[in-house]
Amino acid sequence: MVRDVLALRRVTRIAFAGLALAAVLGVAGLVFLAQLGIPATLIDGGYWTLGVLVAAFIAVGAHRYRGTVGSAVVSGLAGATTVVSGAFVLALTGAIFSWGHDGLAFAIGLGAGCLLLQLVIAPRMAQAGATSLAGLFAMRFPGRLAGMTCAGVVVLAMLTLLVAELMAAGLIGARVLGLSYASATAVAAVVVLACFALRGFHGAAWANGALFPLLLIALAVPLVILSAIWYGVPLPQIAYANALWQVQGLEEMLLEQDLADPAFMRPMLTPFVALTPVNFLGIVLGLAAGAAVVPTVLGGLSPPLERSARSARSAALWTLGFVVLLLTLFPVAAAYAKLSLATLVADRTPIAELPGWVFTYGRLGLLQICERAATDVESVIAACAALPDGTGALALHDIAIDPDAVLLAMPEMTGLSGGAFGLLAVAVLAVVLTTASGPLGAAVRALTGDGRGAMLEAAASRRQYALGLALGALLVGVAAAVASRHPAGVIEVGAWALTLTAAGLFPALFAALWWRRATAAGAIAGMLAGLAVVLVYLVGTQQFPVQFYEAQEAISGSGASGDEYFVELKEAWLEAAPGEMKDIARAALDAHARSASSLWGIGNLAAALLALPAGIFALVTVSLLTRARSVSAEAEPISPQRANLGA
Amino acid sequence: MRWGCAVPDQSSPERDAVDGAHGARERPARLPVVALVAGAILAFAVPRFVQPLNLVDVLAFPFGYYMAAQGILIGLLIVGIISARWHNRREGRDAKVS
Repeated sequence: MVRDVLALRRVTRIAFAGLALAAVLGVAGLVFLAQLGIPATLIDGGYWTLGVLVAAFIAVGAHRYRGTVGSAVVSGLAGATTVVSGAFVLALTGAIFSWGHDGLAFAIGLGAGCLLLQLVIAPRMAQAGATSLAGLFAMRFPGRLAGMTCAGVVVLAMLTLLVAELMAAGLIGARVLGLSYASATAVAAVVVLACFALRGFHGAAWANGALFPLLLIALAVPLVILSAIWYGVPLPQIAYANALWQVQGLEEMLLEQDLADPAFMRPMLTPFVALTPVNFLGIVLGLAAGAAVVPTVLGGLSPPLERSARSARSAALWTLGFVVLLLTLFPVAAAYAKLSLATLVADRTPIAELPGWVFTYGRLGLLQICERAATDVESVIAACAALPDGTGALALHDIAIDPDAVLLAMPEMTGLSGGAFGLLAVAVLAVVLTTASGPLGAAVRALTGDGRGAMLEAAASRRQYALGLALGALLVGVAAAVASRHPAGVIEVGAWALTLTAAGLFPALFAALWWRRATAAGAIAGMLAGLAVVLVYLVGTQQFPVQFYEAQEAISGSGASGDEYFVELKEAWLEAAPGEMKDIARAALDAHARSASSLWGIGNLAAALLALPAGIFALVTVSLLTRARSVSAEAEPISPQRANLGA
Repeated sequence: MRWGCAVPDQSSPERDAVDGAHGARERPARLPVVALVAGAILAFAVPRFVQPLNLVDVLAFPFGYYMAAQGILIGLLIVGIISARWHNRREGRDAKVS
């Protein structure tokens, strides 16, 4: 046993260092080929292939070492990769870039979630002998209905997270493969399914940790280089203070010179411009509670045979440490990207001399100038000339870059070489493809009832594997279909997924661990109430915004009738002739209603503010009203075999 | 209202065998109330004061923005480290006593 552990540690060290080195060397090789004159499209395709190979390597490794347990540090690395996940890695920089200070709510929420995991969830779960939420609920809330309710919540939340991951993978694919976003998403879905099939349903969770060093190198190296060159301080988290002041100075200068519109500007350092304080706190709350629950849903939280609070706490603390290290880099990347863009405008760069990255992302539909995709110089000149208040010089608000593209564009925006972009694309793609297996596996296990231990990998028959794979294919297909419609930004869809997880599962999980009086009926009520509130809120504001906006007056007292602009838009839609004009009018009406829909000023990203209290209230009330039938079950000793449930 | 339910029977022989790795039985982990309050203050209260804190410069940083971007996260990590040390020590002491 001891020899196995030592051998595993040696394997992890070699694999973790070797993987990062191999990826760096692979990117270096591609950069060398580019200098020999190989076309850029082939080089970009090479980056994509390299990212897929890294993800496949992780999947094969996870399958090879299934059932093994990593050390606390390795578990921490894997936990950090899982919690932040590919979707947030890609989208956080853009959120801070476009929302300014308010985008930091997402990073704070993820960090707070890791602390919550360490303080209240991981130690007690380890002592209870459970390594996954389904396993814990099987012990604590026995009964078919509780299991089915939990499975339903898990499937919905994980499917949403999978949509976010596929959107991120589709975006990277579109950039490096030159395909349309929808085609790239479909290709990514096939790769995710292939990785899932290679990994199996119970691949070692710690294997994901191998990606963290690569991700850290890919993110930190460009920022260290820029910090050293621009400010002479090779520590990005310190050096970027200079960039913040420069951005603030440039923003003020652009406002003075009418090169920025105060109505659209979200100053980097000013809080609560994009979000109200209530919505900021709501996002932090939803992400914190969601991020604390997600590792338990994905399984492999802590060593299954060592029921020690100390070891679980230690692994969770390492997770928190690595997450903090990663999250402190995103504001730096956002500040440097913002500085580069503001400098471009402040220098009054002529349209004909705009850098190549502008048109690279413009051709993908991810960057607009003067309200039209910046495909080439001529189209930009024509679009800007057509504007009624065109001054000849580009203004900050004339350039609209999709927030999800900012991280990938950052190396090119800041003038770094293609190698920095390549390494970033490889690392982020590998993380996205790998972390997508987590929610997919969790959803499949929930649907097959495997989370409760019915289909442990040793006993899984060929038929069960085929059934799981077919379910996986179905789920990936559904997620890819939703992702290809691009329902919102990656950061929004990722936040919705964590909010669903938080509202549906956090109250029941907390009660299962800390409140003896909680009953299965109470847990079911809590899960359903939380989920119902979030679903009504999300579906209402996204799919039926006009009806939701008109109905919200009855609940919160503010709404459509007092909104003159809404009334005007609705009249325009009703009076428009059927056809294209009616569709345009409806789209404008929906967009306005979507932006204005909120109960008591709470937007849908902050839905946890309503859903968590609803879930807690339902759980406590129903638990107190029903008899604690599970007391005898709690008192039963839990055998080491049961401790493996859902591992 | 009693806290602490999911931890199985402390006297189970299986449990003793499992916990044998540490040579002593673990007491149920306690709810780290102080750490939770500290974490909640950092995550929910500090962001409300970014604007006034921005008037202060610390190491060339606008302090409010620095707190939101890095200070809160580092604070959460410190809370996690202190809480882990405190609880590990306390549980070790409890185990020796029992």
